[in-house]
Amino acid sequence: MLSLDISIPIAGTQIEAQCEVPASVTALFGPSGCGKTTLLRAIAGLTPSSGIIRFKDETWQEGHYEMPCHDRRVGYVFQEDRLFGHLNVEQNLRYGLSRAETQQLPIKLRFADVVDQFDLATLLDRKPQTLSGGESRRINIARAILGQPQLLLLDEPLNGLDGQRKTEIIPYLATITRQLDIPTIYVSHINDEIAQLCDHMLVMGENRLLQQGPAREVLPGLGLQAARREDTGDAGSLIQATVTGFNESYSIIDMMVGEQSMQVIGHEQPASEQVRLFLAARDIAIATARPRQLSIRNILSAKVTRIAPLSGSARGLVAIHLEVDGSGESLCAHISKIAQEDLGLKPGAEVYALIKSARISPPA
Amino acid sequence: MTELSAIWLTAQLAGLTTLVLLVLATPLAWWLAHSQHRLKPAVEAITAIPLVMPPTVLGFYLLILFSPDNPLGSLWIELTGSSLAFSFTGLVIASLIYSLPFMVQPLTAAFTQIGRQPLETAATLGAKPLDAWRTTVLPMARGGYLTAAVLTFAHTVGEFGIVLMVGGNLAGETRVISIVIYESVETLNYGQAHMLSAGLLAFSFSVLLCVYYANRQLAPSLLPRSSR
Repeated sequence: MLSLDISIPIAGTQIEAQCEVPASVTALFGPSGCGKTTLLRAIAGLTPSSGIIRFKDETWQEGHYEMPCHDRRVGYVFQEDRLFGHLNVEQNLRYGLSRAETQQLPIKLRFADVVDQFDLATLLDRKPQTLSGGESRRINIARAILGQPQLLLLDEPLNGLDGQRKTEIIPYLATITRQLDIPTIYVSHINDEIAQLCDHMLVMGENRLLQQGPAREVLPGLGLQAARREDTGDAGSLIQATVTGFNESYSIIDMMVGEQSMQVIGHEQPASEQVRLFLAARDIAIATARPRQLSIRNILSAKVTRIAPLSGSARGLVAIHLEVDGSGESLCAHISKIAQEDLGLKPGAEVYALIKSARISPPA
Repeated sequence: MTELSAIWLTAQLAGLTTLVLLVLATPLAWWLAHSQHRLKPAVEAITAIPLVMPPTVLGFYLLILFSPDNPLGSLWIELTGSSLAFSFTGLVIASLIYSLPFMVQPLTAAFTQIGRQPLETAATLGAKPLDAWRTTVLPMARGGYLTAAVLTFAHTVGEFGIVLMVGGNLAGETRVISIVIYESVETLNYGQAHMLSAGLLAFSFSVLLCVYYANRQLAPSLLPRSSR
């Protein structure tokens, strides 16, 4: 879909990126200041780079040729509010749409539908200065989509919003990325937002790409890197489960992870539906024998595959990487080094993962 | 009648100067606001020279430049059959140079404050560069344009030294208000000098008052929330 082999000169150094981005939702993950935004800007043609960028059958950049940004048809949601202050909400929303119409592009996303989907009908006459942070985020996203983009670039679209506002906007993002079938790259430095939205991940370190692949393969390995940026709170794993039933009186969804059962609180899901669970590394404890008489109901038997010490503010913790028996899913738990030594945990050890909380991510 | 003809001539000169400078100064101000070129400080300095030089110095050099002994002056005479010195056209050219900073500086300030972000955003929404500029930067800079146009107009109305040097005192051709005031005082016609001076003072004050009021109304609503 999108293939990159570029280097971007910036502030005396170079950002190198070589990757293939599939036609789905891709998260671009990495610590602050590692060049995520610069990479996104280079893809859009806003920051000059050298190398090759191809999208579907178009060449966006090669040798001296550089397709200008306005011809690439990318929908770009910037980190900060970029609504035009001299236009009202409707004029802002129609800015890209009217240009797409003039160029006689096929209009797949109609004004009325997007306004409806983003719940903007009552805001159309307002000036951007009078909107709340959550409202203008929604309009920034809706405006980018109405430009009929062939690639959507979202640069921390939830940046600067509080928890309440985020829960207000995540459903919108989940809806568009699922329904619109436009390849999307989503920049974030917070794991669990990504878990809710993406299928594919690009992991960036200092000025280069470190890792790429399907989210459920890449995400468990991130525990270590998250710790390096002294932010272990966000590390976690994504695993695949199959719904087997729903207990209405307790709002409990029964599901299977491979051959083992789990129960997760949530809304009713159709039986045999595949769901993705996000398990935070700090919410998983390890036991060497199956414990009894415990409030924790989700206990998976697993095998230790790798142990990695953490550093920074997470000093004293270790990341225990596990493979869940009978499923091939991997998990990562953060426990104290002293507990690891007391339990005698080593790669190959048979253990039980006690899962304190699990959250269902919307399917992509 | 001398007064009316001088007022009309002054208005024509100031109006024409303002219109021409609006066109010429826009690209220059945009370049000054956004270029990183190493010659930028030099261009900034040249643009600002009329602010600090005595107008008579500029007038003196222009007079030399316009003279038939000079290539430019003689070329002009060859092309048009008349001299640039002591003509309305010569006066317009002198005013363009003399009033340039009053147009360029407010526009540069407005463009700097607006930045490139609106153009980037517009480009991601499919707008070509000129279209993007016309539909974002131009309306966002309207406060800057108003200030620049009014200052340029008012400043051109008030110029004296350069007019005297380049234009002289030809009725209907180069005799503008400030020259008439000077002449009135020289000939001890204080009544006329009072009238024209008071008129200019009132004009300048009311124009500036309008600009500052208008900018107060315009400015806040044009900035995105994040930059306020």
